Amino acid sequence: MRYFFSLLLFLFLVGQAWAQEPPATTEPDSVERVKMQIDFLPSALRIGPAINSLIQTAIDQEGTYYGLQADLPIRRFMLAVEYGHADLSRQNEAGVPEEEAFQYKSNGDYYKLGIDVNLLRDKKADNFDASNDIIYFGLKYAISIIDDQINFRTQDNFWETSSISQSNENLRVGWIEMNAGMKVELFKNIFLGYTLRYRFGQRYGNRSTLVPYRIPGFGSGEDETNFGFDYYIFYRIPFRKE
Amino acid sequence: MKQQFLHSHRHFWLWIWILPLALSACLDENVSCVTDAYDTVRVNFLKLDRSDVRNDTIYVESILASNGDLVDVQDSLLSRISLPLNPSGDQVTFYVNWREDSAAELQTDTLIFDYTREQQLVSPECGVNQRYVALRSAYDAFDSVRVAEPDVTLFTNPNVSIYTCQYEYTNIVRARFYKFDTTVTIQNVTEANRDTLTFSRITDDLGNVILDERTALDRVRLPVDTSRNNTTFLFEIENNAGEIVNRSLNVSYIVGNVQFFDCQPQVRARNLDVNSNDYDFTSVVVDQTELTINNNRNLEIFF
Repeated sequence: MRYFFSLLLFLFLVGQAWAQEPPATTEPDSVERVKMQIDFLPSALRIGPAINSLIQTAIDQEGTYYGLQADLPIRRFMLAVEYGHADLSRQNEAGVPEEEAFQYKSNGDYYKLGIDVNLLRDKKADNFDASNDIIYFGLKYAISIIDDQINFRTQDNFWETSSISQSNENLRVGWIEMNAGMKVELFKNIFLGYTLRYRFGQRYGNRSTLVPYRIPGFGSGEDETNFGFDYYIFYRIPFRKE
Repeated sequence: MKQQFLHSHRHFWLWIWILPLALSACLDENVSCVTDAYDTVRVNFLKLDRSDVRNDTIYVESILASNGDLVDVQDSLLSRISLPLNPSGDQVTFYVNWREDSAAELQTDTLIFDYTREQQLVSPECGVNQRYVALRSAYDAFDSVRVAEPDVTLFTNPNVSIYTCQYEYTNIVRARFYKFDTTVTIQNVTEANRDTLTFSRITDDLGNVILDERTALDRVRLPVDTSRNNTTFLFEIENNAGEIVNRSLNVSYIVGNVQFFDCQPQVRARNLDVNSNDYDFTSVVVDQTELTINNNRNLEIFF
């Protein structure tokens, strides 16, 4: 966590440095003061589902997946949050001998919170306003809470076979994500976007001896780091007139 | 609207470029069934000799597991064995019946291993894997057992090393008696010059009795006191006239402690020395200066 907050601070400072806005040389009058106050308020809310999760739900008959991403643009920065859910079940393929049969079920949610910074200058407006087309980079802290269970039989030529049932309840998994991506306004207030993710620093909270098959929002439970990719479609709700 | 779409056109190639990644994200369950999970702990035998470690070969008569079954390694000379871990429990016990060689005395030593089993679904096609990690020697009756690799995988070899300790250091000075012959230099003395003396008593300066009955010997074993750096021995010897004559011998040495791996610490006496003023035999020569069980002659004594 301490690395995460240090990275967030670093990101903020880098964003400020890149802005390269000249310092004010005169006292702002009352109109400018009102404008500055407005500039530090979110200009819009952009929210949308992960398209690939919806496709995955359509393909996978034994799983349901969805993810939502929302951001609040504040000048060139965005306060970004994500929420998602995944439940899945897996069992042995048909025709497998009884001693090799297994069942696995998992059900969990994930939450992500962080800051993104827009790197794309709007040439017309000559600014980095994050409420329009953006190419961004960001950091998020993520946590997933899952329940899962596995049932199977041991197979051994020397020791007796037995049935094993193992589970995790309210298992918390935390990690940090480095994100990069883009959001493009195709139609009025409709954006398409994608997010490339590098996830690292994965830590289990109170895991039993069962390693989760999939951690919602992260991927394989065996990974400590991995890459990911998500497609999104967003709707922008402007908070003030342009 | 058209204008806005055109405005986005500059990013369109990026969308096309990244599209295959999106499709591959939906297919991430295609994993290989090949894993490095393994259910057998590999044990090798090593012999500790001073600071040298070398492979040891023991004669394994049988290995009995806690379920009453015999592990398939009976009556074999082996330098390594493989022991099956129990997929239904977190501990296994093995009773190893072995000999240093096929003719040596039978020894039975117990090995108990603790470990953690981790379950993981690899994929619906590949099924469930159980990994054995955090392997620990919970009990053993061998000289020394060291877990080298606590995670049991196909590629970790060995997981456990069993050391047979060689306790070679001793406090015994081995002395041999020789006839003094002016025609033979002391350095060239041979076994033909050995002398058999009749001792009636041997003691040390602390009053410890080493020999207390009339005995004819051509060699004696003299235990030094390792709490100090010198010991004086007092000999009562019967000469050719049947008279008892007294002789003394003071030996000096340096005492230290050594410990090899997990073996018990050993007291080591070395740099054995005898000064010309420290004896009243005709001559005493130091042959081997370290007191070990491998040395058979530390002192040559000329009566």
